[in-house]
Amino acid sequence: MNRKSKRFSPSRLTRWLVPVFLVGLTLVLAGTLLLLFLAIIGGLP
Amino acid sequence: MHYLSLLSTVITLAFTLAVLSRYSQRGGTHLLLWGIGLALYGLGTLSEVILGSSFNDWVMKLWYLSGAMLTAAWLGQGTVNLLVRRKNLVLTANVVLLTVSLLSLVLIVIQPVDLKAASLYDPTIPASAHNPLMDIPEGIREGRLPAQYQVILGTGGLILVLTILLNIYGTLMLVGGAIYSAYLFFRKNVFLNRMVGNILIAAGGLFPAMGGTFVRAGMVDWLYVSEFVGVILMFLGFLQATASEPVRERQTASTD
Repeated sequence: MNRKSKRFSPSRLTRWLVPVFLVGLTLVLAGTLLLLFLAIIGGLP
Repeated sequence: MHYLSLLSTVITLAFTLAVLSRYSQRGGTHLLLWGIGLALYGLGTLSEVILGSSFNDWVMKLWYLSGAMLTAAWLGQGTVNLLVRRKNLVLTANVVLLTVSLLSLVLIVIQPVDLKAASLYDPTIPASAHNPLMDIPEGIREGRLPAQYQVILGTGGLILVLTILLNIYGTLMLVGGAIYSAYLFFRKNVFLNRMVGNILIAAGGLFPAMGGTFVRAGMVDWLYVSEFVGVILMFLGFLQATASEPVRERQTASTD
């Protein structure tokens, strides 16, 4: 497999859909981590 | 609802074998650590299956140790071993995780069990659900209804802090690492299969991480759903990312 064949040309849909997914996942990750952090400083039982 | 845990266990077993099989063929500490993390995942869901039919204090301890404390951290450590190039840093992180894991094991083993509460354990509801027959122990914040396992094991103090820290670390590394890898593949327009695979792994890793939040919000059955959906997405992501690669090449980030 040469370098050229592992490249792909993103379609117009992929070009905006992937960033939306990545940003969405990052936001959910941030929210999840924030909740876990709040669980610490909130002194949960 | 524990049939979902049974399905999760079967899928996790297949996933674990796939990862360890790849490790035996190619080597790579990250694959070994992912394999250990997945085995812990499976032990957690298997414990849920057992706790869904009867109570055993050691099974409950195994459930908490594997499912709640260690799984995310070991999976995340696999990603750290894959993505971080500084070997000394990675080795130190591995040693710290192993030490903290052993500490967690000791803490869980010596944690006393409330025998009265244990005798009232109801296997027809999740261990993470509240059982109104059990007395609410001291130290529980007013207005909160403790889960069965909280009353029986009393997992507070250092155990709780370690649980949260291990989950923050593991989730950040596993999900953050997968998002970062997907971003690199997208930016360079290479390895479409790995880009898609990493997006699936990131999404799958978030589900069980949110499971604890569901439990805290009183949606206890969603813990099982999140484990089930999470392992399916991660397995699909792994299969997608590792699909037919005729020639192995060194890359910046992947699931290798």
